[in-house]
Amino acid sequence: MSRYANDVSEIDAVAAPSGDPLRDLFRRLAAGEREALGDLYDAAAPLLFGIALLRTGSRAAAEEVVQEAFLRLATTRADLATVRRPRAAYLATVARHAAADHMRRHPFPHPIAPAEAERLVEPRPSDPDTRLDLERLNCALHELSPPQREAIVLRYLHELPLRDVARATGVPLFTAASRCRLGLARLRRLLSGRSR
Amino acid sequence: MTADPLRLLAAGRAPQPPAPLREAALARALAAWSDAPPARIHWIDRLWASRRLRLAWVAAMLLLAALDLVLTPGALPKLSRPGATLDEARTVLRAGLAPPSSGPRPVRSSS
Repeated sequence: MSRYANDVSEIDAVAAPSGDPLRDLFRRLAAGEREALGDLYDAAAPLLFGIALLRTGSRAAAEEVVQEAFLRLATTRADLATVRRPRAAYLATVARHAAADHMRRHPFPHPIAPAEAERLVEPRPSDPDTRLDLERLNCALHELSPPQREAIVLRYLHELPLRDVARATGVPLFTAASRCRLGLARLRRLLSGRSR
Repeated sequence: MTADPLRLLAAGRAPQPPAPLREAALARALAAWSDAPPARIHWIDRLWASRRLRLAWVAAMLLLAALDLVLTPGALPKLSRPGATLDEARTVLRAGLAPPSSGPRPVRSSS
């Protein structure tokens, strides 16, 4: 009951986004404006790159996935006019599908060890003192299950609303909330030195 | 050192894509960009993109199907036994048997 109440309070606490800067970009792209593609890249590339990195586990593969995602957006730009909110979730879904296709073409021969995996969190240039703490956080993130890791990164690093996290990962809202809650609890245990 | 993951996540940022990726991604996307105007979206497709309208459409179809079942004679199975025809009633009366649902119930004498 308390878990259910926690998820409900988490969901209620998520305010609907007030404005959507991607809406105008989608309209401009659907109208055939080429310059909008560059603006869309500046607005959405970190999100797409982050999702690609989560799904593929390598920066080189993530770069290919981002290119593929923008290729899809350019060739299917007419569909962008009919996309309703949330558009960030739509972009995330495009990246997710591009990553899935990439992984189907280039599957990993073996699972990646957490120590060899790419960093999912970087220190901000203005605050380099957190490097050591963030190294621990990166290691702990790689100990999570992939769905929990993805939910945590999208929710707290890319700051997507919980509804967008749910749509971007293709799961119901309560499932996304549960993944965030369980992932955070596991992260707390890992960071405090308790593995279980 | 803090063990609060939320504070750590707030202190960091997502990995940024490398700068040369912008040129590469845009060049590849623009190479596939067709100068032909995008296909005009038909009004029915715009309507179909709305979840509420899709739900209203499904509800209307279900209502029509239910109405069709109710109004079409013989479409629904009869749940009650049909009444006896005149010939069946005469046969019963001729045999001296009262129909099960009619007639006085036999009274048992008390003595």
